[in-house]
Amino acid sequence: MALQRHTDALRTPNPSQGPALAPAEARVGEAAAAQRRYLGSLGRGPAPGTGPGKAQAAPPGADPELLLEPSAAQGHGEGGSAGSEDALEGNTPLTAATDAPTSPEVAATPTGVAAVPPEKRKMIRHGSAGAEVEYAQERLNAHGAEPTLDVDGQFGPKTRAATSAYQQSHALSPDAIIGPKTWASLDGPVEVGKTQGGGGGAGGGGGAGAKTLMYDTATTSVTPPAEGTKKAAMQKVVEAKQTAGDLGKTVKAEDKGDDALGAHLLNATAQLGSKNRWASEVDLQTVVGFKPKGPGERPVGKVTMRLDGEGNADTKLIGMGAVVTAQKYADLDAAKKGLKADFGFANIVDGGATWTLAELNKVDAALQRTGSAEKAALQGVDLVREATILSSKGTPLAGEFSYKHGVATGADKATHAEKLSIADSAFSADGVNFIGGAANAAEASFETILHEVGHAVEHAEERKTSAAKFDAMAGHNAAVTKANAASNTQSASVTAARNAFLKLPKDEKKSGTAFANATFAVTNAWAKVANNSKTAEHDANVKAAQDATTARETARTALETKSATHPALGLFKGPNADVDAWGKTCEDRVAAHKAQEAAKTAADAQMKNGESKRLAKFRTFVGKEKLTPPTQYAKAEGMGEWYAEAYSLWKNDPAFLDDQYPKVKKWFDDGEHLKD
Amino acid sequence: MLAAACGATPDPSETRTEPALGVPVAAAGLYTFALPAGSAPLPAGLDAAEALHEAAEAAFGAGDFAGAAEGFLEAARLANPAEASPYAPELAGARTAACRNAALAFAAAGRPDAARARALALRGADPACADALEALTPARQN
Repeated sequence: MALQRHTDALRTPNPSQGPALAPAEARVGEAAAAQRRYLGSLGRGPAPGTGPGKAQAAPPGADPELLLEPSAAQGHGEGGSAGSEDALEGNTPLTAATDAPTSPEVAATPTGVAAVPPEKRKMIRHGSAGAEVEYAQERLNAHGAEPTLDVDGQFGPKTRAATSAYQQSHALSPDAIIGPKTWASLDGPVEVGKTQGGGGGAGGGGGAGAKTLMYDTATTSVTPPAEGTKKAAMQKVVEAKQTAGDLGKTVKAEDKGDDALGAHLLNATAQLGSKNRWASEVDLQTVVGFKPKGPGERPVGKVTMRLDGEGNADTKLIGMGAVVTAQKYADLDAAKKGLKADFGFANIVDGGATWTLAELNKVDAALQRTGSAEKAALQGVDLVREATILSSKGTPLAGEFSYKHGVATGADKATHAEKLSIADSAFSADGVNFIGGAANAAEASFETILHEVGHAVEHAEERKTSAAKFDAMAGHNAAVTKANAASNTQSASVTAARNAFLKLPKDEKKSGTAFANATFAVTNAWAKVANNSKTAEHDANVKAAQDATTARETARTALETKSATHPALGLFKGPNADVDAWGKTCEDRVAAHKAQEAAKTAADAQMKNGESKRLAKFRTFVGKEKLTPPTQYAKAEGMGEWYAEAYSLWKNDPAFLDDQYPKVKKWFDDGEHLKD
Repeated sequence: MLAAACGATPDPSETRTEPALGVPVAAAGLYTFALPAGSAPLPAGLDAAEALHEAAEAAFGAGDFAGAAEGFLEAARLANPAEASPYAPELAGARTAACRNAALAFAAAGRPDAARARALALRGADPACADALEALTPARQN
């Protein structure tokens, strides 16, 4: 019978991998900022109120919302110079340090031009040359200048065009002059808007015309608008995006009458508005206001942006402040002990990297979202921290759930290895993105962690039965070793007895032959048991051997009755004990063989067409319902990843799942993922 | 050491005037060739290894011990991929089983010298297999 094997790699892609996407306005991050979660997305039908038909008209009482339609919006004519360098003159000077949003990717201490505050740097324009131009070219490239500029210190036509394009997409006057405001903006973090990781497509969305939203799990950030930027200025940028076809007719930004918030939401909408993001939702932790007059930094909030399949945008602030994970455990030892106790991990392992307390608290908080039956899927698994994880194709991954079963050298002991591994990149989007809604917003890393748990759950029964199968195989081999050793023992002693028997006087041989042959019959009967590999024949063979043993004892008794001192009785006494001991090992081997075959059958029953029965069931479900994958990664990597992505979203963002994929949510709510 | 023989044959030393004396036998139970399973792709060629092992088991059951021995060894060879594999330890376990079966088959065929020769030849390429062959094959009598 063929052994079950699985070729699916249970991995989360590294967010830093994936196809390039460089829409003119959604610039892609530089390497320092390019550690990402994997890409994902989700979708079903258009969200209520976000479909093109509903969103074209302003809802009653929608005063705080901004609804832009290109034809009308273009007529606003508000402050075209609001974002120009000239307009900045009266503004409070900015510095890179104070204007950059909190980000884990903030660069090391700047040197050279970067160390000079923006307002004190030279203003440069077409024809300028020198270190400032070099620095500007570097920053423009970092922000995704297309084509990439030569860093030659010469402000030529390409640098001018790149500057103008950058300004246009950042609510700055597109005059191609780099002054304090543009300098400050260029110093800011780069946007990380392109698709990474899963390789599912250029953007995080389902694409133009898609009916459902995909959940974009790429690490995505936006450069905040320059200090003091007015909403009206950002409206202009948005209108330009609409005119260019990067955004649809309707743009909603719920600013609650707060001009600064409106400017920030529209800024995010403009920067992330591109066709390859259509039909997606992305969750950002980003700056949502300007620096307060007193002490303090620019406020950070949790912003969710949805783009429907027609490019209509709906950007909301769902809560102020960054996502914070409660520090349940105060030290590493307590965290490791707690994780083992609560989830059954066999070991908490420092692999290529070392677990930090903060990371283990995140893992714990994420896993607390699982149910008891799902926790059971982690029993005996090693939780491993790696710096990097590579797929079998060499692709960096953010996480991986892996397992293998077999027998060790020696063939009589099974080996089991089950690991949930998390890499550096799984945590790289924490503080930049989040997952969930207002009530349950969580660190972006929760997505990877629970994605891998999804794999553990999907394969739980398959792993359990597979492990039992290899235990049974190893047990059978151990039984074979014992039986063969016992066979050698009885063979030697019975043969010696037979040789001695042949030397007996003729009359004693004649009178003892029946008993001797009864002994040999027993050895032959057990040999048949030992050699048999057909389960159905075991019982009959064992019965025959037991009957032969009974017959031998009958022959012995008869011989004893006839001649209590017959030498054959003594010759075969020890050998017969050896034969009986061998018989016992043969019976043990039979029991082990039966157990092995039963375990194989049980393991086979957990597989269907080369995949787990649970996954096959999910495949049937989504096929029957004609559902589309929830994320780009799921779309690119197949059904196993789809299952894991859906599981992660079910645990992390059930509201989104309910909104976009209600049937998937119900499937999980009903516990179908646990039914075998 | 196991001296496998199947079936009883009359002892030629016996005379026709005495009742025929049977022959005791030893029996070689075969080991399970347990190829590993897991989430990572398995090396290529294992399906062929498994099929070969099954065929060798059938040959053993049919009394073609020499043929079975060669089949077991070939199955072991196919379960020893040249490239690095995360399953290397588990494949060594599977090869141990196949090579033990080969030793049992050589013994049943009455060819311990062949088993020793194969063990010697495999010492460099597959020490696990060589060990298994030697462990179940009696040393040469001087």
